[in-house]
Amino acid sequence: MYGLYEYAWLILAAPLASFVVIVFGTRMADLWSRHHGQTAQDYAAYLREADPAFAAWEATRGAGGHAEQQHAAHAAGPAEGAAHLGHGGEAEHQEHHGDPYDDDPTVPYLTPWARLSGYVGIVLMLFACLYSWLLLFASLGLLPGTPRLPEGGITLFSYTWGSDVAFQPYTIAFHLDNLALAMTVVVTTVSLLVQFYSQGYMASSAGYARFFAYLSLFAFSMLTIVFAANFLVIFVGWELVGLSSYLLIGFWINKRAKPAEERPAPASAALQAFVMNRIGDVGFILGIMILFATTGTFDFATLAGNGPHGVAQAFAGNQALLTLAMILVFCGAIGKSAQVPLHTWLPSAMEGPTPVSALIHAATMVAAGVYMVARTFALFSAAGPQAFGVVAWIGGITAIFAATIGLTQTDFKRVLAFSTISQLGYMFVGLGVAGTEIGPGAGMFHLFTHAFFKALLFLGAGSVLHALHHAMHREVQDMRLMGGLARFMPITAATWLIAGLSISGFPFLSGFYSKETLISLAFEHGDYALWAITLVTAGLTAFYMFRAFFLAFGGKGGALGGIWGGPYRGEGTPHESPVTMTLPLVILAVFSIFAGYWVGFFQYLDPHAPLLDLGKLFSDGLTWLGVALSLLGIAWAYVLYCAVGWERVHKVVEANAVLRFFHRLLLHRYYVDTLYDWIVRYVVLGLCHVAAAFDRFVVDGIVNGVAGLVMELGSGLRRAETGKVQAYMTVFFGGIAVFAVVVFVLATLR
Amino acid sequence: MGLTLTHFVVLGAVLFCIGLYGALTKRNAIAILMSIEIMLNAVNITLIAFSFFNHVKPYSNLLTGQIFAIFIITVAAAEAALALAMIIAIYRKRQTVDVGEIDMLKW
Amino acid sequence: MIFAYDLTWILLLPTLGGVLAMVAPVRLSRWLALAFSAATLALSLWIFLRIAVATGYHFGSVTDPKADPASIDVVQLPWIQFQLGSVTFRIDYYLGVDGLSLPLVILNALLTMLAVIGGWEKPRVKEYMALLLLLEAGVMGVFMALDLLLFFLFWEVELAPMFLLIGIWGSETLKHGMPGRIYSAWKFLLYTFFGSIFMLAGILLVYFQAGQNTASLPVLMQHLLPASTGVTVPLLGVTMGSQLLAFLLVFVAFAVKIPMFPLHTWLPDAHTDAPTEVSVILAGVLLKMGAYGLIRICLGLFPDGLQQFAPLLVVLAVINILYGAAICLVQKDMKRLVAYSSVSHMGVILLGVAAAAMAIHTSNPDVAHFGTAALMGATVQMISHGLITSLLFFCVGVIYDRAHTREIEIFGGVAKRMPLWATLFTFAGLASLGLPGLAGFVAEYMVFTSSYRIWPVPTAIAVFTMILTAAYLLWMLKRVLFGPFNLRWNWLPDASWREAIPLVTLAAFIVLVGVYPGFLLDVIVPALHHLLPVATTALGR
Repeated sequence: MYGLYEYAWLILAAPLASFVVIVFGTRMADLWSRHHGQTAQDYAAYLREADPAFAAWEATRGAGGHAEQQHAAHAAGPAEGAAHLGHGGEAEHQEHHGDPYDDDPTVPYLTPWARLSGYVGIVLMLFACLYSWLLLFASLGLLPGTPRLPEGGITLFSYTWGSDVAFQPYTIAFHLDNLALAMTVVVTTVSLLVQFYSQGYMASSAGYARFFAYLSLFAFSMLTIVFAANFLVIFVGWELVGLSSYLLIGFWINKRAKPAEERPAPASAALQAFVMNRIGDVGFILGIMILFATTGTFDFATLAGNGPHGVAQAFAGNQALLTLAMILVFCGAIGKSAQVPLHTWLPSAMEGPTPVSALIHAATMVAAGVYMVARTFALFSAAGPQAFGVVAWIGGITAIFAATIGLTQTDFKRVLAFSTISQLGYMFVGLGVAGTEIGPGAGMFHLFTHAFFKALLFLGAGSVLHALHHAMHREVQDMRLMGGLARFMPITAATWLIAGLSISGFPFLSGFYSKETLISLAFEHGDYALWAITLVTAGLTAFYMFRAFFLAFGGKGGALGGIWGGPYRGEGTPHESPVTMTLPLVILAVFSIFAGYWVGFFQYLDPHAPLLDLGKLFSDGLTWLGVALSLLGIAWAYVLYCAVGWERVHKVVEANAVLRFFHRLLLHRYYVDTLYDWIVRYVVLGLCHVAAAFDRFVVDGIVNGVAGLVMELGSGLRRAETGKVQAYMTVFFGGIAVFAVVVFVLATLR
Repeated sequence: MGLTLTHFVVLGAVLFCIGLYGALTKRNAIAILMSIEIMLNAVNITLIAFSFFNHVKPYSNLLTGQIFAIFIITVAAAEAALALAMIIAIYRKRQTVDVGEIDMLKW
Repeated sequence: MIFAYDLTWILLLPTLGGVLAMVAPVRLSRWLALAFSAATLALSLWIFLRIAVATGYHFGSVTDPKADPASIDVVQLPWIQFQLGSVTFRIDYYLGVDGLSLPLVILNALLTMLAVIGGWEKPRVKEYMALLLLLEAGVMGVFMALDLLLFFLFWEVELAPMFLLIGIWGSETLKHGMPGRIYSAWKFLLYTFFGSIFMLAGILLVYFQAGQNTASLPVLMQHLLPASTGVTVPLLGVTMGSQLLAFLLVFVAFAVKIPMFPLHTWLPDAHTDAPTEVSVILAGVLLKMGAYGLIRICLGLFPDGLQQFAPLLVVLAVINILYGAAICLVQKDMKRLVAYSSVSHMGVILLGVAAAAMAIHTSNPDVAHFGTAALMGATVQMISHGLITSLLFFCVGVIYDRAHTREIEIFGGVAKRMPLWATLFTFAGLASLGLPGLAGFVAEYMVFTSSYRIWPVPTAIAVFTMILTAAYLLWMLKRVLFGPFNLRWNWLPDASWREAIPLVTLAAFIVLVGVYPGFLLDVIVPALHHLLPVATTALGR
């Protein structure tokens, strides 16, 4: 009956398969093939023989490239040995942590096995992507001969942890419905494009195979969340995406922190991301625990149903507890979707490779929180209004909070990071204000469109960073070192412009539909404060996106009044990225324009929800108020960064005390990171030190104290042993005498 | 009034106390040894006396006490030989027979 | 004939192997040790498969008199029997394995074999191998003994080889004015003895109170000591039922072994000073002896005593979990960190048992289910902690053998030089922090979600360990493996094949239990059902 749908588990299995194949197959072969020889020279000799491409590359380097070749080979793998230590000896290196080339090791040439790893990932992901699109069309009724999905969806497969009845709730079950399918399409499409893009972006990076393994692992984990049929599985996926995020943020394992740019080391950023997510997850699991303890099930459908295990019956008369449970569940979303107050990990997560930022930290994983709330929408509806209130207000506060920070950031990727946080806030507003008649559609719609244009923004940024890295031979992310790049890289600039317009809510692009729907929903449902916040945020969004665009791609004196090109403030000459990178940009640009025209989206997710009413949207004056604010933001950005110029704006801000104060405040992200750092360093670790000292001096102190006491007692008592026989005899006979007296007395008393 | 058991027991006790006093106070190991011999002999006297003055049937015919005395004399001889040997050994090692300075068992 | 039983051979094979490894020439003794430990593993697996095939994967409970004889493996022979006046004293050679003990027997056999491989190049290798195998025999006895006095005997037997293993091959770092190995060996020995005395007293109390003239666990379980009625014994001025008293006496020994706060301080010292493989055995199976005893004996024999004590036990469990985790965060030594993480993780077992204890006499089928699931989680935690912590210790051992230090701050970016090892170490860390798909998650998720029904507030507090666990493990990994590469370690070679065997084997088991725990859960659960009442109606899906 649902044959086509029932094989949807293949979508889940494909990335897992590529992960396994890469980790145990091609990556092993890659590592092994680079293990030949003990020194860099041996390795180079091996490569020369093994692959003509390497020999060709080497020939182009000429004699002068010898040193670099050594470095390149050195970075390539664990093959190099003493050569590095040869000069100066170990003592010299005691305080010297690594050499500059260790930060971000590059390889001159990818082994065939490494490239194969990439192909494995891409091919399997292509399959998953095509299959998910096929299913999407089928579920829309566009595929003749295949029915639509039933309203409740279908179970793909499930198994329990144990056969005993006590383990029945502990079921690993995957489930497919329209909501899951809409998300699957996003995940597989963006994953595919990002993997394709990574071929170019990561072409010279060591650990190429590892990168694709991680990307596949991420896709699998994310799809686990998407297909989850119960809280157990969604929690599994939840943690696994946290893992992939951890691995991918820390992909450049040895890279150092850059204190001057306030950039942490990737390893620290990864740690921060995982632990902050765990803070949210504690809330998540506490919520799950309350639900489970009351209803005895994890299953979404059962919980939402009217049976004895549904929340409606189980929590009857105790709605406050359900509300609490749902707010706790939402804590998980706060962590994963980087909402205030657990948002600080996302900007740090930008230390990962840019494709990762695009896929995980913009388009898909961070949206998992939104998806989870959408998935448990029925439970939120059953809870008190405070539950949705918290969702909406956290979203609203985050939206404007992050947008204001975005105004002042100079790091290209960080602007996008804060824009992501802000947009995720929008989605939560959408979920929070929608109410049961609209369903999760509004929030999910923004998720859907946002995934495409945000991925495009990040991939475009990656393209820029890639070009600047080649031009300047170092990593440059500061927008003050860019400028006028539209001249050098027109495709990147044009696609970025489309995405920028889309996220700003420029009419008739996808972002316009999803965002304006959200804002008007907030107004219609009487949340005027949230409406005002989202409206202002829309203006701010447009401003900082175009500030970034003008700083990077335009500038005073460029073509079209400074929009297209301008003075380049960096060194060298950037070039447009290779087609492996620009092709995904173009595809995503198409989605960024047209994704918003899926007017049946609300109904697709929830058959009882209304259609997206375009006529009403266009005829509503408030819509155009939002658009006007966005255009105002764009215009203001144009004035400041194209007409006046960045340097003069900066001078004015620095000269004015009030402006300077706000600039500092925003530049340092309201000092939230500083506060958290302080709390961790002094409060948490302080308590831990107290516990450790308690353990050492009190608990263990008592143990050692008892032992010491016994020892002291023994060494005191042994003084009685004088070694003088006569003393012993005296005591002996004295004792007998005393004993005799005692016996005599006792005997006579009787 | 002839010699009764009491006389012998008192004699034994007095002799024992003399021996004990000597054993506890003398510094010279040889003197201590002699004192111990006195104590042993005090015990011998007591044993023989009890044996001799026992008129309760059927134990009156037994010579257990006397035999014990002979046994003690034998053991005492062996003990004296052993003790003298030890004293000589200690003297060779320490150049003294003063028990105050012999505290090899200390602690 | 005693030799006709395969359980006898589970005891005899390692003993024989130990003796042979001792007398054989050095070259041969390693291989002998490997062969005998492998034979023990094979035998234990064979018992497992035999029962699985014979009964269609239905494992029974040795304490259940109605259990299908094919579903368990038991040997009972009279051993010591004498009469003093009116008192008959009887100890049986009574061994048995069922779903609860068989996984632990297999775990012990597996870890010993891996420890033999890991300790291939130790100095004085003959004695080392011999003692490892004797240790295995002792621990096997603990897991199999069904006569309480025999249990006590094996409980003590295991001490001697462990004492020597720590005392001879341990570290020389000075502690309290003596070499650490001496200090820690004594600390371990005295602590355990301290507990054992109470256990012996408790067992004798049970023996004489029950008046069955036997210390056989299944028999005694049918003659449970009354909780409130019967003899009441004043202790420190408080009168308590004999069952609670007996429970407390026996529990002290298990609490030391688990180890439970505040009786845990021997563990970090023993771990830091023991050689790698001994730490593996210590964390992998010796701690499980305490947890096993808690479930098998305390829950089986003193359910009411345990239930009365449960409110206190749950508090101690939460302290164990959070306190251990908090201390981990400021440890400077990798091994000490892992040791304290054991304290934290073993607390989860205590939490599960405390929850199960409240479900013992319940008439509410829901509570019974939650209790069973919590106890199940605790039991799985025994296995998963055994696998995961062993893997962590093996990993720390690899770097310690090269660098001769375990100080976290000294390293940096080592993953660059040791990719294989770094991968497995990260894997172990992730498993330990309860990553889904790996063994630790199954256990902790079950314990936390089901204990919450019975102990809401303590469980809600204990869950915060998730943050701390992630923080201390990943922070340690970050400082050792990642970040700027410290060129001082440029010479480090990656893990060798011999070192990789234990790592990869354990990793495979961790994934297996994590992805498909059913094969383990179905083995264990009948034994637990005998301890807790079987609920008839199912929970909602």
